[in-house]
Amino acid sequence: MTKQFRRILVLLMTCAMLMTGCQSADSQTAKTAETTSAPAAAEQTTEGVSLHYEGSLKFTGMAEPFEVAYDDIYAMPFVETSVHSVSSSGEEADNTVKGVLLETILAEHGMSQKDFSTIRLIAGDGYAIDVTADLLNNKDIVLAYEFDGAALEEKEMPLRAAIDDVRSMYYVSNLVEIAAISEGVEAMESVPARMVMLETAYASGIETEPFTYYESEDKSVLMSDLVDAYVSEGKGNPAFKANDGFEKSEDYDVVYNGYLKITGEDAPLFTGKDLPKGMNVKSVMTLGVGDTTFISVGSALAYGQMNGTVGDVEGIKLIDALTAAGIEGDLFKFSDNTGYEVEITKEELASGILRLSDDGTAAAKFDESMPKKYNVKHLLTIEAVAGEATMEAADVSETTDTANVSTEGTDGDAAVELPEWTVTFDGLSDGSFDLTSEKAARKLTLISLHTEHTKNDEKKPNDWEGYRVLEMLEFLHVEDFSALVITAGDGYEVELPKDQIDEDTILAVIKNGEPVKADNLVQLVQNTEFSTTWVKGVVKITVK
Amino acid sequence: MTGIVIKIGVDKIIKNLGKGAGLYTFLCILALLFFVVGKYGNNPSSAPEEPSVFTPIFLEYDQQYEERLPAFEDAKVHRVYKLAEGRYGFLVTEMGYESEILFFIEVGEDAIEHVDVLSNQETADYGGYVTETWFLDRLLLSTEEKLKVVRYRKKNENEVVAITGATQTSKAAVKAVNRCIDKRGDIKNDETI
Repeated sequence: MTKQFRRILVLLMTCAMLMTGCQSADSQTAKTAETTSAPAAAEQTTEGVSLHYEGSLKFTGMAEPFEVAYDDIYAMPFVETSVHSVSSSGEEADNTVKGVLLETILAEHGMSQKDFSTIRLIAGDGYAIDVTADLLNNKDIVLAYEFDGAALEEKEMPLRAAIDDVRSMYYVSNLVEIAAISEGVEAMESVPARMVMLETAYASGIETEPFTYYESEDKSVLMSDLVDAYVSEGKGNPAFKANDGFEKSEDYDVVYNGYLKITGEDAPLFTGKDLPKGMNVKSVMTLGVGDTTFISVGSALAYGQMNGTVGDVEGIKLIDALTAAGIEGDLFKFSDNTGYEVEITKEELASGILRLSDDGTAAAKFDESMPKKYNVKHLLTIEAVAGEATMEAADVSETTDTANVSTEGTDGDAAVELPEWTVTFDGLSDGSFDLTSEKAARKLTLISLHTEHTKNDEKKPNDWEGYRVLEMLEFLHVEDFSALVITAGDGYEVELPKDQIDEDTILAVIKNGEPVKADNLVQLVQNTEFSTTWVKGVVKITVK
Repeated sequence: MTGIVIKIGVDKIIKNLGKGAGLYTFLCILALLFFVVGKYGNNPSSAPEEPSVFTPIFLEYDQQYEERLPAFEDAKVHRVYKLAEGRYGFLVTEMGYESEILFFIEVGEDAIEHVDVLSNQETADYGGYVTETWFLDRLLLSTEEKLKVVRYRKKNENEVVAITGATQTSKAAVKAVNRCIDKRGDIKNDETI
């Protein structure tokens, strides 16, 4: 091997060693960078050394939106103060924070936080919380970069809001934007005029969807379905009240695009498809949207501050519920989910409560001094109406042992006072159902039927008033049947096949203008020649 | 190879030192230093790097499962064990919201058979639920297609409903399972060759 050749060979090997060494060094550096967590664009320091964070805090919604570089905020005159906060689970915390007052930044732009009715603190992950006027007018808002002498953690950078003596939900980390909701002018909001009972609304055509909440399979409804169905006008900032006293307002679009989990733990719970968990509202008691306030009777009962009783029935006082909903008036229209309506004065409300029925829907319950028709089942809405009552309350001067239900004559005659009755419907898909005289009066149509049956070779004409059996079956959601077994109080039974039940098969309560006899109360009547199937004193109907 | 290079380099240095060829000597010394430092400076052994906090767990599992398949292991799938005919166990790490999470995932012929969380430091009220059976059971699905995270409600067989408020942690679990599905496919392909 020549000397020249050896030198070239050594040079080549030298280059190879250089390249190999450099490549190894690069890979080590890269691996080190992967495995260690470098601070994100910020040099974490304490007092005496400057902070740095790329980007700026956005201020939007003002007449002239602006941005302030985080580095400029760090350089501003700062405050160091103690703050106290409480988490949603009740845990309390005391911290010393260091940062810049929001007021300081706004002052540089000729503004004050008191100019706004609401500002929204927005984090980088979308979490947002509204700070309303009561806080803006009375509290300092610190945009903090140090907590208890230490710089913020990477995920909390560049700023974290801190307000003394509030819920920790206001301590928004990774603050990227501050949005003014209104500027010095009260936001135009609709005055609530209607209260919707959520429990009845769920059962009234609103579609439910499965909803997995932790380990539980619950149900939910779309907020858009509720809003579209019941809110007539106005948006504003929907306002939540939970049954633990928690209150917050929320962006309309966030609410409209959200869900209400209606069963299971923490229900009703408001959440959204991509909403951070911290923006959920558990145990919603009322939600005001536009001119409507939704109320959960169950949640209000759990709240415990509005509870009242009528007899031994527990509920929430109507007056308190309407006050909580912000609905004022002298006259209110109560409506159920079948279209039944009754007007009740403000004074009369004092005698009533809202309660939950066995089927989970809401109902109004008044004491015995009030007309029975005020006890609206499946109560859906209560609306403030203008004017004086158009329906006069029935005169009730004495409390009788057997409460009466008034039934108007179909030809406009004066109402016939009828004794109360109950007919049990058996064999239904979900068990049995007690149809009472009161329910029938509210839900069914009283019709007239003229019959001329033959008895002892004589024609016997009679005028009946009662309720169609087929309408009762429809009311009970009986889609099909093969026969009905009509049972009297004395045990007497008649089985009627389906083809013998027609539009003229009624449960009669009035005969020739008078209630059917006291020991009869309800009689099955058909427009037939003979009365062999006319069962007196019906107490039960079994659906086959 | 390394020994030969060093020997040649040293010989050359000595030879040239004696002859006084300064620049040439200097280059050789520099190259030698680069080579040695670059190759061995931060890594005294030639063994593959592993997150040291999990090493005791890996060793424990190595003792428990004899048949290990290192050919299918990588930076995230740290261990592949053959548990039985058609059944494999994987030690997998995936980054959650707060921490790296270590999973042990058992994959059968066509389904995820079992998922365990061996280590995590997720926040208790959020990703901490990743260890709950009610969540891990959601991962026990067919390996026919990769799993996907959804919120609140699943509509398809391969969907996994996320832990409420902990989508990122849930995604970590699903990613870990999907890695195992891939590895299982690789093993199957290898078996058929």
